[in-house]
Amino acid sequence: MTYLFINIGNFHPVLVHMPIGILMFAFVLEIYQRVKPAENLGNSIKLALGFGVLSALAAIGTGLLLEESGAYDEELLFRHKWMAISLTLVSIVIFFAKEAKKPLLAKLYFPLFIAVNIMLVLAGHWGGSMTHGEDFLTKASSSDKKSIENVDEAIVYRDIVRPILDAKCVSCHNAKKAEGNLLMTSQMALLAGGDTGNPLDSVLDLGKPLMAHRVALPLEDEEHMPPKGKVQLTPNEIALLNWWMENKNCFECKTTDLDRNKKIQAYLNDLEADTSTRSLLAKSLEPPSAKWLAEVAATGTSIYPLKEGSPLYIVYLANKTALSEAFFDVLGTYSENIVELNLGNSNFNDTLVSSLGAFENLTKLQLQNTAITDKGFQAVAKLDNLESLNLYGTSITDAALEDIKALSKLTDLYLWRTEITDEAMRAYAVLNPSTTIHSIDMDMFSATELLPPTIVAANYFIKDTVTVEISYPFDDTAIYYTLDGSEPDTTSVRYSTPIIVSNTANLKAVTAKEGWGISETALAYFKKSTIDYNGIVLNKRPAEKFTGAGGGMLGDLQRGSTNFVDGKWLGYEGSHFNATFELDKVQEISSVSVGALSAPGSWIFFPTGFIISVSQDGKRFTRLHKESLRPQKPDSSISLKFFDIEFVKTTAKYVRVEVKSILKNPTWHQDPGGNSWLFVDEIVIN
Amino acid sequence: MSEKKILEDRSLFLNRRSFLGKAALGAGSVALASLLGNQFFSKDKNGILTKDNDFGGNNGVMNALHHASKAKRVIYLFQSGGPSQLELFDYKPTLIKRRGEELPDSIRQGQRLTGMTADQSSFPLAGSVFDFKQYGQNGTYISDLLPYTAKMVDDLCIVKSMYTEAINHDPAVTFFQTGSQQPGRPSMGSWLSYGLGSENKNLPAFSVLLSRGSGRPSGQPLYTRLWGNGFLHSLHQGVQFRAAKDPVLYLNDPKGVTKEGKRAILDKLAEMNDKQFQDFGNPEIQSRIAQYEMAYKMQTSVPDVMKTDDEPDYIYKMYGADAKIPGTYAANCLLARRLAEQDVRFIQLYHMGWDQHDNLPGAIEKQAKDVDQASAALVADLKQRGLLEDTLVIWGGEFGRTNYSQGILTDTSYGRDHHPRCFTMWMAGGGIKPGVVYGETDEFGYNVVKDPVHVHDFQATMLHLLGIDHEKLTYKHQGRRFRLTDVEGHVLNDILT
Repeated sequence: MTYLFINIGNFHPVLVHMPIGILMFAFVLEIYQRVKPAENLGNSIKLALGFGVLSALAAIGTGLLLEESGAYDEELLFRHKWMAISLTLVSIVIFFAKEAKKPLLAKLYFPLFIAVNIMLVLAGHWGGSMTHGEDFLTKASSSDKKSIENVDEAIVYRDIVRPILDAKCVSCHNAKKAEGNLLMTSQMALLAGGDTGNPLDSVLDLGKPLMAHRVALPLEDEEHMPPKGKVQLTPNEIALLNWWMENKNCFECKTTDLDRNKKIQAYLNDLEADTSTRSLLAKSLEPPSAKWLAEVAATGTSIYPLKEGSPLYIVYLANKTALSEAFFDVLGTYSENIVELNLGNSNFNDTLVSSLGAFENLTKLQLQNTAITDKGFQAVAKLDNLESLNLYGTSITDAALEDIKALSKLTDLYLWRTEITDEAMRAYAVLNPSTTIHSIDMDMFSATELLPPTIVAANYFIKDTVTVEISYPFDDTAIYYTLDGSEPDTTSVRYSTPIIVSNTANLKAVTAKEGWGISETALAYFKKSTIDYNGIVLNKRPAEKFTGAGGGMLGDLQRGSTNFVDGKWLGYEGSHFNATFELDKVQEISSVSVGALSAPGSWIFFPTGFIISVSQDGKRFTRLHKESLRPQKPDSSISLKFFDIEFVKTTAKYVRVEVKSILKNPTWHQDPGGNSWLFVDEIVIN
Repeated sequence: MSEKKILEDRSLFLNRRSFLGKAALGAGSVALASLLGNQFFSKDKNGILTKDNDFGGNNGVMNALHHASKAKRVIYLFQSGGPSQLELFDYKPTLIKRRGEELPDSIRQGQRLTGMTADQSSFPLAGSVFDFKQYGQNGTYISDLLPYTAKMVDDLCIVKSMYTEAINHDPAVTFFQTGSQQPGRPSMGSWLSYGLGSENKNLPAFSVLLSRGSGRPSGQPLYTRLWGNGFLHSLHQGVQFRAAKDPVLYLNDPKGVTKEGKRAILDKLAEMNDKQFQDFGNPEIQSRIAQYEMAYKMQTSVPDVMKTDDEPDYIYKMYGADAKIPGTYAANCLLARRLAEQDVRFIQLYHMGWDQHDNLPGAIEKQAKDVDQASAALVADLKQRGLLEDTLVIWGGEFGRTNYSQGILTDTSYGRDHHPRCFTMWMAGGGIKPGVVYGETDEFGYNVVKDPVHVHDFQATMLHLLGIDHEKLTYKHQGRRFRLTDVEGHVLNDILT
């Protein structure tokens, strides 16, 4: 039952506003009636008074229920309750006194009405004080919170913990509204504890102090503190409170007496007052007028505040090529509000620089890639609030660096590609250790290599001759090459016009350029192929998916690529390859070259052996050569290879080529023993 | 049928929602339209546009930053496919020592696996075959695969304790970009375009550059929706710059159309669209007008930015010889710097091919070579130009890779599957503490043991650096307010300057 009462009681803060509003408005109507008697408002006033009384009764009812539940300051509660009850009674009286015939009542009517209004204000104020705290109206806003001057001197409880408790806990845990019978107003009160114990005592089964536990509970948890809806502790505040409690909640220790890790030190430093130039300026300056902002925007200048509500502004004029004094004249009205100005890559120059004088509060100025020189720079050096100055790509010299020395607040300086000498920069850096001259060591990129050149040829099999072009995307790079397989360098043949290749050749090429590392080698293998085939018969059918264009494809002088599904490969699953080539005439042969693919990731492996047989009639074959290869090393990269099989010179009309597959995946494969594939394309007989 | 009749008919077809929408926008939008209407006719006698109208969509919805910003723009070097933290940044001697041993269940803790390794009977631990050395003032371990990144380590903040919720590429990339694994929400760049707009009225606030890696050339594809605007105005979608004759598609005029003629067409079109807008008040009409205008401006601004011929030789030497070849990662890094100089708000690169399920050592070597020098050069180049001070550079993929081998572990080869529980990213510039390593993983490189960073935390931090409170930049859609960090995300104050 109590539960139900409390719930209805909770409506009190909602309902109390009704009698306040209605009764006060009734009073406004009454005054109006007295000023303009012609308006007949009598009934309206009476109606308003009636409703006001009814709502006041409802408010009292709910208020009495709420009283049961809450831990409120008794004195305030007493005053609030009885003031509310009396004002309700008086309201009932004036309701009946309105337009009453009895002279006494009529006489009392208006004074009582005034009294009701005063009582409303008082009752309302006391009610507010109970929920929000007595100093609610007069309290300074939270943004003006005091900061610590020197955090190393601060006493942890007094200067750090106490302000957090005061701001976030005490509004409910005070003598007037002691929620959970816990006061957090003083050291004594904290140690005394409340209904659930001492907040600083470690609770055995939790292993941490009760307060740390309650604060760490999820927001939705009923026990979470501060309760949902109240202003929450920030992560920094929680960390600081825990830190204090972990250190046995020492009430007298200084920050330096306790162990501080990096994080805590950072949080502590945050408590110190922000004394940066921008922060001080923000406090001392008024925001500029909206009219001025509109004027600035109308010139095409981009301007925006540092953040919401800040009087400080950033102006962006970068990449503008038609800047004139007019731009700066408009900005000049509130020049002291501008703390950052970007003029990078604009037409800003020594003439316009005189306009900068008024912008004495600039902390960041960007003049990169502008025409400013030493002459104009003197005006810049007078902006002594500058913290960041960008002069990269200007033609200022050592003389300007002398002027820069006057900028005592400077922390970041950009001088890349200026005329300033390294010695001058070093000397400056020694004298001004607080300024960083941002530069990089270009040597770190000194070993950069060129890319290998691109070799382009219409064909890699040579019937007669093939024209080969070698190219590179850079200007003025030299290309060197060899055809005999030796590694090319800058002493090799320099490429100028396309090369004509007429015999089997191993072309290797590199690119070289002053100041760059020589490239890796580009390779191309050209194979002489003089013998034509009358026909190619596949003695074993390839797998259905990888039949390509049939046997003829083996002699079309087009190689399959590393992409095994390009349609130029004959693929065999778990079986060997066997094909017969009919040469265009009986002739001498001494080698067979077989192109194959390895892509273990796709279950494709190189051959393990070859058998070459020849025949004059295509029926009776004699075995000429048999060769077995060593098993392939574990390597799952995709590669192409030509296997050259050399044998004693023989005359033949027909040549049968058998290529042996590994058949089953090797043990090192991810699917050992599974069916493996053999991919063959282009077989050249010479 | 008279025009009036057409309009009347059309108004009858208006559905309930657009009726209510129109009623709500009502008089306000009509008044707005008439105010803006004058600005379409801002050309001189020769038909040359003389005045920027504010239809570029460059002004963000935020009137002012929530707090002072440290970064004004972002370059996000997205390493698509999931780079292996174990070969690049997260040095784990234990994995080398215990190579081939089974992953202990106490470490795996029931982590779900992808379909690719779920059936694997054994999970042999695999250490990196690449060596690590210490670099920089703090002796940070960096792999031999990243020699240039190693030299820049004092400028980077390396976060080793990233973790995500997704285990497959598309949901994981989508999660990073939009804050949700399900497609349909706006990408990060779109949120920034929406919130902050852009200083540059001639280039899109959100620019996208793609490159394919040599580690796995035919790897995972990316979808244009990853840089989509979701439910935001279509103005805010990312615009892809391609390495081709037309860097931005459908930008060039057909043959025989002059610049002046185009201007006249656009003005007339804008006039008609404006009339339509005054009748219907549909903001998508404004969006359409703005996109025509942006496309017109990009006809000159895009070729300017893509024309890198004027870059000196020493710049190419910084970024690497690849930078001369359009469409490579290095070339895109160089373009990213040029876009940053033009104050494009969000520059997103994607480098594909980090998905090394098998043959990892061979593939990641090539892949790392693609990005190492150019990434380091970008940071260095921004630094010497003074741009790093207010540009946030981010390098990272959508998840990490497992500490055990996918497939058979051999002396020279192994693979790694997707791993959401820990991975490494780095950030530099724009208010990030330089020379810091943040977070730790266990000795197996499987779980985060210190300072975990969720994807939403990363997003919240990025927005924070740009002056945005991630809880306040919202957009109401289908009855609820959405934000990039959904309902989570904590700013990583520990890594801010």
